[in-house]
This record gives sequence, structure tokens and C-alpha cells, in this order.
Amino acid sequence: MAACWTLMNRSALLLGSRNLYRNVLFTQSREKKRWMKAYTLIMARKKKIEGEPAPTPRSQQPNWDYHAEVEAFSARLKESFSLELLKTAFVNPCYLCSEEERRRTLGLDCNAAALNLRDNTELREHGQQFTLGFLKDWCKSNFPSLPEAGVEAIVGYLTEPKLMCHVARNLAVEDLAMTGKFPVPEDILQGTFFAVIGALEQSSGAERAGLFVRDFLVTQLIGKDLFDMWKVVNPMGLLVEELNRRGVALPEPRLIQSAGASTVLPLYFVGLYSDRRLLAHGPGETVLAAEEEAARVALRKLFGYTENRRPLDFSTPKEQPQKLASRAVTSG
Amino acid sequence: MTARGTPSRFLQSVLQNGVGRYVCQLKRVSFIFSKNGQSSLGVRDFIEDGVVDFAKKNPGIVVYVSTQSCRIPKVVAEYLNGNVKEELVTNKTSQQIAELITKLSNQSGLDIIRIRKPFHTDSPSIQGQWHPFTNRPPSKDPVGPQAK
Repeated sequence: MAACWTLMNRSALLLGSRNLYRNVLFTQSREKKRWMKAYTLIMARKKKIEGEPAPTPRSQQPNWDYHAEVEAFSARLKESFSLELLKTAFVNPCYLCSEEERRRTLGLDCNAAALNLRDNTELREHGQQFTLGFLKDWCKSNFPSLPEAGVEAIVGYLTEPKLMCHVARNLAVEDLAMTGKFPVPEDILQGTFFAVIGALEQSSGAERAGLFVRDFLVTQLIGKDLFDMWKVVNPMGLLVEELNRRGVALPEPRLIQSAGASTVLPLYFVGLYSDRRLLAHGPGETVLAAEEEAARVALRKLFGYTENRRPLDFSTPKEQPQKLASRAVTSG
Repeated sequence: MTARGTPSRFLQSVLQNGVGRYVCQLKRVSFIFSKNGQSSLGVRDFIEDGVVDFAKKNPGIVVYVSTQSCRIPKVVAEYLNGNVKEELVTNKTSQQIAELITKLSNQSGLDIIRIRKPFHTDSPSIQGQWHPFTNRPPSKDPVGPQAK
């Protein structure tokens, strides 16, 4: 509860009737304020009837300067965007529709108050194509033995609306996006983020845009397991296909360990042997579940997506030609 | 109160900040102070001397300066994850406010509550976590004492 202040006049206590307002001592007393009771109860009842107040966009709250915010957005991400392209990237078609509606209802003439904004449809498509292409190439170069279906699953996971909106919200894209509705719907926010990536590619080039996508989308892969992203219904079938492709003998499942077979929580370890050498083993509550888990472990090993693989490389690429040139200058 | 009565969280970062590139998590700082009040003296001094340097050094932070007739001057910091932190700067000196601003710009915006563990890892085990069957030779008999 908020504290209330009671005024204690020390000198009045000493001198009795004479009112001297020097040596005033303010003491804080933390009781509830009796005089606020009626107002507080009425406001609580009003909130119960009407519910929470609707969220308002940041641009409609005090202290907002759009140009400064856009510049800060570019500086914060350490990227040099062309401001015009970036501002275009934030304008969504739904915003243009709603603005024109508003102008029409206010009675403004279409020609007198023309809306000189371009929307972000082209930038969005451009950005989406670039992102999908970049993520596919990145997956293929980092996980060369992962099949097409796996690559598609990972790229699909990284470009799904939920994840992209999470990234966009934590990069303050939602504050800057101009949309017809608030709170911004997920697909529109995802489109705005793609448009920002498109704007970056057109301003600074494919390499910088690739680094941006790597630093913000690919980092969301950290801590994720392959089969959380890629729903595989029949891992054993997939494993048999993979081994056939590599020309290795088919896997034979064997029970390796069992414990507590007659209890509520039995544990079975099943190993998959190909040509009498262990491929992988996995645990499960029933023998079939353990075999499926062993197939999944084998697939993770084959595709190189185990938990103890080499960590992904997020270092800044050093400029190779400049280094060689400087060495030549110093030696020659 | 006790640890169970107060909120707590695990050590985490916003969007894996720092793995790819470091992004300063403070996006907006607003100074709300009064033009003539005695408690806003420090804020007024800071705005004369230090705020422009701070804004130049951190181009990614938008600094708003607004005067209102208020008794308690405030600094409102907004972070990228949506958290808004208000600090009262009544009767603080310009130096103290500068330190406060630097502290706010170094924070991540996550709540300042008890952190359950001072460490976090996404790859807790390299060779695989030990379980009772790790180095046991395979056998088709149920678990029992191993033959030496």
C-alpha cells in the first residue's frame, strides 16, 4: 500500500499552544488511507465490470519520436540501414487501408491529403525468399548429412510465425510497425520482420543480411533437439532408408538391459546392431518404445545432430583479403 | 519474505543475446523532472552536462527529456523485452544519475528477483550423462550383481 505522510510538529509538542512551523519533521506512516477508500472501491468495481483497459500502441503513448526511434533501431542492431527503405519496411498494407478509411471518414479530399507511403509487400517477399534460401544453405552446410525433409523441418521451425514474432517483439519491431490493428496480428508482424530483412539486404548486401539472420534466427536453435522440430512418425523406417542409402547392413534390434520388468516403471535398453556392430542404444518403458528411441538416437548420430556435437559457429567473419594485404605491406 | 514467498527466475538472456552479436537491451530512457523544483536539481545539472554525451555514446538508446511540474523526478527505462523500470532520482546529484543511467544501460531488462542458480548451460553433458547402465556390459538377464 502507498505510504501516507503525517506531519509532526516537534516544536508544537514542546511549546504546547504556540504554532511554530520550524523544525517540521515528516514521518512516514504506512497505514491505509481512510479517505481513499470510497474512490478505490469504486475504481475496483469499474475495473471488474469493464475488464482491463485495452493495450495502446507505444506510438500513441507520450514520449515518441518516430524518426529517432528508427535511427536508434538501426544503430542498436549495429547495421547501417538505408532509413528510407527501413521506414518503407515498417508500413503494412493494412495500415494504408485504415489510414485512407480514416481520411475518408474525416472528409478529407483524396487528392488534397494523398498518402505518399509505399507499403512493404515487395520488401516482404524479397526478405522471405532471402531468409528461406539463406537458412536452407546454412542448414545444408552445417549438417551435410541431414536429408531434405530434415532441412525443411528446421527451416520451417525457424520461420514459423510464433518464433519469428517472439524474435520481432524482443527486437522492438512491434513498436515501430505501422499496422491497422493493435495488438499486431502474428502474420503481419512476421511479414514486417521479413520486410526488415529485405530492407537490410537491399541496403547492406546479402552478406550482412545473412549475418543478421544467423545472429537472430539461427540462435533460436540453441538447446533444441532435432526431433522436437521434425516430427518423424516412423523413425525405424527412416533409419532403414538411410542405411540402405549408405549401403550399410540393416539394423537388428537386441535387448541389452532390462530392469523392473514386472513393476509400474519398467526400463528396457534396446541396441541396434548393423553387421554385428552397435549403432545406437536407447531406453524405453516397453521394448517397442525402447526400439523406437534407439532408432531416433541412431538417426541423430547419422545426421550429426547429437547433443555433444561441435557448437555452432557464431563468430564474426574476419576480413581475409585485408589481412593478407596488411601482411604483404609489412613484409615487403 | 522468504525465497518461496518471493518470485524467482532462472539465469537467462533475452533472445540469446551475446551469442550472435551483443545488442544493448535498453531501448528508451525518459527523464521526467520539474523546471524549478529543488529535488530535480541533480537531474537538471545532468541534462546540462552529461545527457548529450550519454546519448552520443549509445546511439541505440532514444533519450527523451520532458519537464512536468512534479515533486519527484523520475527516470523511466524501457527495455527490449517490454519491461519498464521507473527509478526515482529525487535529490540525487548529477554524478549519481550518470552512474544510475550506466547501470540501467548495462541491465538486460529481466526482473531483478532471486536467481535460482548462478549458471545455465544448454549442453550439460559432453560424453553423455551417467546413468546406472552406462558402463555395464549388455546382458539379457534382469539387473543383478555383476560377475567380477
